[in-house]
Amino acid sequence: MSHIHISDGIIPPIWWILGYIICLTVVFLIIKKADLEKIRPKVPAIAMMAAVMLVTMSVPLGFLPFHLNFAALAGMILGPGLGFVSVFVVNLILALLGHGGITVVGINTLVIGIESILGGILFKYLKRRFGGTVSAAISAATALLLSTVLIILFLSSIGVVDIWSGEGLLHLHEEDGDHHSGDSVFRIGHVILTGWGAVLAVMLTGILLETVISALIVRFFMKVRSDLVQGVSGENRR
Amino acid sequence: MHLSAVDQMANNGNSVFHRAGIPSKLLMVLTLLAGIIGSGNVISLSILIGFMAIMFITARARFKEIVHLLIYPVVFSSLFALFKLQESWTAGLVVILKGTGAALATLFLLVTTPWIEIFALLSAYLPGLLVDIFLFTYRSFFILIDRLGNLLRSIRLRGGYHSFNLFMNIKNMAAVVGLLILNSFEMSERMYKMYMLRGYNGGIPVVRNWWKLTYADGIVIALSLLIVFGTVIMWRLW
Repeated sequence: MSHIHISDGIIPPIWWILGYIICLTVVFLIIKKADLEKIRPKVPAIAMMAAVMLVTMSVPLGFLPFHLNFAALAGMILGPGLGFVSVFVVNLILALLGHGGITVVGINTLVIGIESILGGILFKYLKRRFGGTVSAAISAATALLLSTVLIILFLSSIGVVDIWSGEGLLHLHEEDGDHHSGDSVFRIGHVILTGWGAVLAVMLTGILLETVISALIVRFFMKVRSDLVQGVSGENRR
Repeated sequence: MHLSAVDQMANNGNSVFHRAGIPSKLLMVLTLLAGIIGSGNVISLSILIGFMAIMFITARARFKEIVHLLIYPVVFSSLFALFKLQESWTAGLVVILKGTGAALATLFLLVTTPWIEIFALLSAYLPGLLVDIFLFTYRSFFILIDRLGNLLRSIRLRGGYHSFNLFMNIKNMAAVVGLLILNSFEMSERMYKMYMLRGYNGGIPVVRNWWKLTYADGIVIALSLLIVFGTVIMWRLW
């Protein structure tokens, strides 16, 4: 959900270079530490999940200007490490197509990868206690909230957005008129929200939406193929 | 996302850029990216974008798809440009031109180079496993996008999608994505078995024949040098 659509030339080079170094190090470590014999049969599955993430970005959700990432879901299905790798693949392909800058692939992967890592780890530990659907909802919501907070803090700390007004955070329309010039604006019918009100409305709606859909998908898997979600056994089905 | 249109342009084009090898094209794209990201001047950025527009015309790229793909970087850089507008209108314009220019540069590589050649180049530097994931993702995308299209069409025909009925959309989209993931995983299992039968043992062999420099490579390298000198001269002028 907190996919960074920042174009090239906005983030200072020191940050995106650092982002690339950390991201590639993490990807290489995951691959190096993985047991190749065990991971090889999973290659088509990782790729499929990456392709699903790419494809679902074209799924319309009516009037809401969102696309879903399913990075947390990827973590739940593939596991935290492989979920991170699939996020890297998706981000690189998207950046080559102009969807997010090519320079911010590293930072993008780290932010969205955190969703995948946290989503996967939380789901693994919570599923025994709360069952699949509830765990998926808690894991997805926590992962999305954390990544959103992290990206806001990061962007405000490097001066790309204004944390006090929420300016620059929304991927929506800026409008002139009665509100302060430059404030973020979110319009739902006749209701117009500005500044942090707009930022929170959009972000919480996005988080809620992805959480609900992720939980519904996990619920669907529990009914038809529970082994897909990290080997959840039949007794945990809800 | 127009991945299939981009793929079609890259595979069926016959321009000098299509005939050039990937290392020379990559060199040109990197010089373009460096010029765009390093520049903070409206005129030099406009000249670089104009230069790329001529390259797109020479490569006979389909403008409809390119313009559509450019909407993302233009819209999202505009939002950050609004933040910069407080400094000056040129600062805002620079942000938009940088975002658009960098996206044009990467798109140029994609519309003149088949993905398989890009993966072949990546395979020289990245772990084989990661390159395999890229290749499988690319292959899976086209299969899944067709399936998604059919699923969405059947949902619309059965009255399952309404622009303003968010709850119904969420429920149905979760079912669509769940079904898509389920199908994709079953497909990935079949795909893995087929690859195993054909001798897949980690690492799909890709052919690299870049060492043959043709006249097309010469032209592309000359253009790269022109970009480097032009950018440096422009930096000194402004």
